[in-house]
Amino acid sequence: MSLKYKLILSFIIPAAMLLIAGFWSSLQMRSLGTKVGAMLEENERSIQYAIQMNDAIERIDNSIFAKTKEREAEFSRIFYQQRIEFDKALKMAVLNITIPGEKEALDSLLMYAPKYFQMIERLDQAPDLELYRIEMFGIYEKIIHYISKIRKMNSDAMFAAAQQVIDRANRAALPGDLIILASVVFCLLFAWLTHLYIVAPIKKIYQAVKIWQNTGIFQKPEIKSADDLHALSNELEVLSIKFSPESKK
Amino acid sequence: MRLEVCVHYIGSLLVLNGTAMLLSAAIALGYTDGSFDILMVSGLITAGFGVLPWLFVPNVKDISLKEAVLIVAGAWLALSFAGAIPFYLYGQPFNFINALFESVSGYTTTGSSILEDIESLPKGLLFWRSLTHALGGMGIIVLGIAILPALSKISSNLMKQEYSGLVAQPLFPRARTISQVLLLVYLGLIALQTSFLLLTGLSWFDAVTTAFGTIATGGFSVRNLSIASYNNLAVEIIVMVFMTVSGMNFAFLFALLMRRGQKIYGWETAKVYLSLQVVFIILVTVLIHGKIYQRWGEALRYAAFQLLSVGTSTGFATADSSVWTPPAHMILVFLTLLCACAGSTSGGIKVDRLVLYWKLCRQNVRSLIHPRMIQTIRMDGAALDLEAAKTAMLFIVSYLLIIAVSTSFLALNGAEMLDAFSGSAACMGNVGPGLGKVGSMGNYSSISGSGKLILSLVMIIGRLEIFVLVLPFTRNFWKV
Repeated sequence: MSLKYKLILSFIIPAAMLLIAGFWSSLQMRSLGTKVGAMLEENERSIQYAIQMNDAIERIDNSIFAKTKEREAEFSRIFYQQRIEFDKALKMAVLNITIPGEKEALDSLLMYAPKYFQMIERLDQAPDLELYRIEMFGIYEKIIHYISKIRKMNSDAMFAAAQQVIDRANRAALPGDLIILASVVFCLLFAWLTHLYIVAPIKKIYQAVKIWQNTGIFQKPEIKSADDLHALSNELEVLSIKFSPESKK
Repeated sequence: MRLEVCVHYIGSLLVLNGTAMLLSAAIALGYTDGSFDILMVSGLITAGFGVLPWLFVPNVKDISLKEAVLIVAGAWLALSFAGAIPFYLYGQPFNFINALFESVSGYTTTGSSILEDIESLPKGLLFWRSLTHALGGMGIIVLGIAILPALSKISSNLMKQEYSGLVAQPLFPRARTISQVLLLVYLGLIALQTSFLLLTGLSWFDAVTTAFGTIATGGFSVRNLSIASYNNLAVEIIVMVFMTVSGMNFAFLFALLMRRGQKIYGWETAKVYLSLQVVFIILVTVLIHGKIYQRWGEALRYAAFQLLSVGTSTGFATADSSVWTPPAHMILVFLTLLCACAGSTSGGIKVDRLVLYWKLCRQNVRSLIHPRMIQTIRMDGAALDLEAAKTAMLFIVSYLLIIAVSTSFLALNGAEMLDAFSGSAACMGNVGPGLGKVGSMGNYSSISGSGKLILSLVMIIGRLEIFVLVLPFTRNFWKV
């Protein structure tokens, strides 16, 4: 192989290694960013809907006390307004299921919330604190429980996603670490081989030419590699024979 | 010493290794399990390193003994590091030390693992893990000689260094022909076992990786519970048969198959090896029957599998031998130290040396009675010189000494004595599972980082039969 190709390939190989490792790191980071970003956004939305449901249901529960104090207008305003808010948030949450177990929790909410609202409507017709204490509060607690469960599940998923970010970031950085080490070893190896198979032969040829100039005798240097330097050494030998005193005669 | 020549041939083997990684990448692509990029990057980096010296250094016609030693030792170290790259890039649970341990364990066909949940790994990476067994089992150099033209020119010295020194009578005059015959036997056995396993209903992936682990006497399984996870007697019988065959001298198997000549070298050792296995299986069956397993059939099934697995240095498991009785443990430890025949893919002291040791003892006793009697030690009718016997005895002593040093080191690093000793013996013999936490159903994750490094070194020392790896670290080796 000629010197030209040896040198070109020797530069291309580490460049290709760097390119591949860099590309891979970048790919890892990009895919990580896209996946985790989407996941975090969906979890965050679920948490927001849960907060909205929680706020609405707590206000509805408070409005029952307005009813017992016979503040009808206040009760109706809060109840119907917050029910719309709750239903809206629940509907959005159902459309944003991202993690296992979330659907079951939302199904429970879809079952208990209408039941709870129906009871409040019954309370509206005939206020009965006993009904509230015995039946309604239990359902209210269940609704709060499932809302908290959804919040917790999504918070845990966000934490897991953050952990995944750390793992994937580490993984994306690994080729970088590896390539730094590989580049150092590669450079050392390249420098050593260049010295052995390019610099040293050139020096040998230079010494031989110098001796030829001074003494008129050309001693062909031993070049191990079959490349341009080997050819040069051969050509110099031919040249030395041409210019030798014997051939001039 | 021409260092550049050594680097050139190590480079050729790195290219071969890189190609094997790319093959695993292709498997990963088929399964689309996310390990394609890891294996691709690793393969290209490994091959890239190998190409550089190949570009500059021309092939040579011969190499000296020292150069051969350096190529073999250097290649095993370089390949162990290169083989760790895919594991390292995969990340958790692999840090650098764990990745190196897993890689060394693969190449040396030890089969010790740090993995607690093997099945969580992507299929491509699991294939690479098993492929390291296939590459190392054959002996990466012997494999290189068989298929790389550059290595075949300098093969005889190289082969002597990597292949067990006990295989004294080659079948063919040329080392390349021997390598090709060994490769033929090796690949033939893998193909045969894969076919049989497929017939039992195993998937292609499981059948091929199990065959790699069996014929290489490695023991890496793609299942958390090793062979026990299949709970299939047919699979166990196939694995047992092929483990037993793989524990025999491959050249002997080839000669047996081809019926070359009247006398086949290796008969004597093979007879001792098979007799020992049968005797120990019966003994352990009796020892564990009634205590661990209530039925005779069950006791025989598990005793036979575990003993053949340890006795051939494979390391597959169908039962947790850690709960067996102490006398059964003693037999397992003895087999861990001894293993199978020279010229096979197994590690350990080897039956050949045990036979030699026995003959030397007999000779010594006879010479006490008849001091002037001239005696020769014969193996399969061929006379062995005293130098070979001396080397074999030196090997046994050094072998036990290394286990003692490694045990002490692990114990000082916090490992329990049973784990430290059985782990060291199992790694030195390239067996894999020891007893206790590192037992047949355990793993090496509890061993400290420095402990894992020591065990990695011990595995390579055991695989290269001690002296090849030790030589380059002596001062005299580098003297002109």
